[in-house]
Amino acid sequence: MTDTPFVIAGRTFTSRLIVGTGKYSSNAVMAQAHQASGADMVTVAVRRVNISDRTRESLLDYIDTSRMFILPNTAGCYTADEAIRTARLGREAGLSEWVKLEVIGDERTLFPDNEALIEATRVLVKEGFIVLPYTNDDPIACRKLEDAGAAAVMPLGAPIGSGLGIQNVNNIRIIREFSRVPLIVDAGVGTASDAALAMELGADGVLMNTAIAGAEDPVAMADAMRHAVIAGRLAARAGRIPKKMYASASSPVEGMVGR
Amino acid sequence: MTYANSAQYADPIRLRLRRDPHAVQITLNGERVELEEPMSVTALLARLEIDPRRVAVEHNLNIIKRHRFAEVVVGDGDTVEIVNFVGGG
Repeated sequence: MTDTPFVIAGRTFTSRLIVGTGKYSSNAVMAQAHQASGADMVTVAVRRVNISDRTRESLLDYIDTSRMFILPNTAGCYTADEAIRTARLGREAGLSEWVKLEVIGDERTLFPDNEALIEATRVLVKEGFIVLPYTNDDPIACRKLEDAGAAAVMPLGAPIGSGLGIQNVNNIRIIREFSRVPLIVDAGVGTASDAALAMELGADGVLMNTAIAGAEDPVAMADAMRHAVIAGRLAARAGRIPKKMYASASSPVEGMVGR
Repeated sequence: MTYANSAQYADPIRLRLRRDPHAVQITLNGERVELEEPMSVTALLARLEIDPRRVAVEHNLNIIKRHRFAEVVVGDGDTVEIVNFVGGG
């Protein structure tokens, strides 16, 4: 079954799985996991250079930038201004207009601050950014982000790093119906079935970090996620059977021996 | 109070400043750093052994485009932020 290409803002990606670069036990393990995931887009954070660390080991030494598209994030930003400033710095460091926009509203849940997120989206879109906002699983917020010019909407499945899986399946369905831009489920995935479910609900892609980086075997989990996203996508396009209350025999009821 | 007495309690950076009238103090990534003289962003990065192709630089809240690193001079009292990509989700 040939699929439609995964396109965001005119750029085509071969994989519908987007992976992070945080929390790995080592950069070498990360590089192996990236390879196994099949992803061609990775997220990175923008932080101060450690002036006193003279080793100067760079994350970019472990990312195959000929294959991987780098998506800088604004993780850790709590105001629109902070996020805008970080996005601009990320643009200079990476020389691309793309940003995974995060404006966090609360430290314990890391839930986004919708109002500030929409405001920052509006400002950055005007400056020519391709904005991919990490948002609540709220169809209205997603609609407002799309109206503000977001290139995709990225609702959370569950809190960042929680591994709880998709908590509001119905909202993701509604967001799918509402959205004309790509829908990427970002955060909350714990295991392969969560990623498959996201795709079955109609997501165009899934973004995850902790589910892979925090697994006992990150490379094996990355491989599992690659398959899950492919399987979920195929299932969504194949068209599942309706759920029924009672059994419906798979084998013929006629021709039974001795009847 | 004599000069010697006050010097005893003074910030060592200030003392060095007195000895070298050209020295400048900047705030680099939130820390106070002394440079022996004003210098370009290119020179500053070289001094810090940082590859200019992998960082973004903000000078007094203005982002400096990479092609302007050589012409922008960091002087006394300036604030500089140098950022790069680290692991994140």
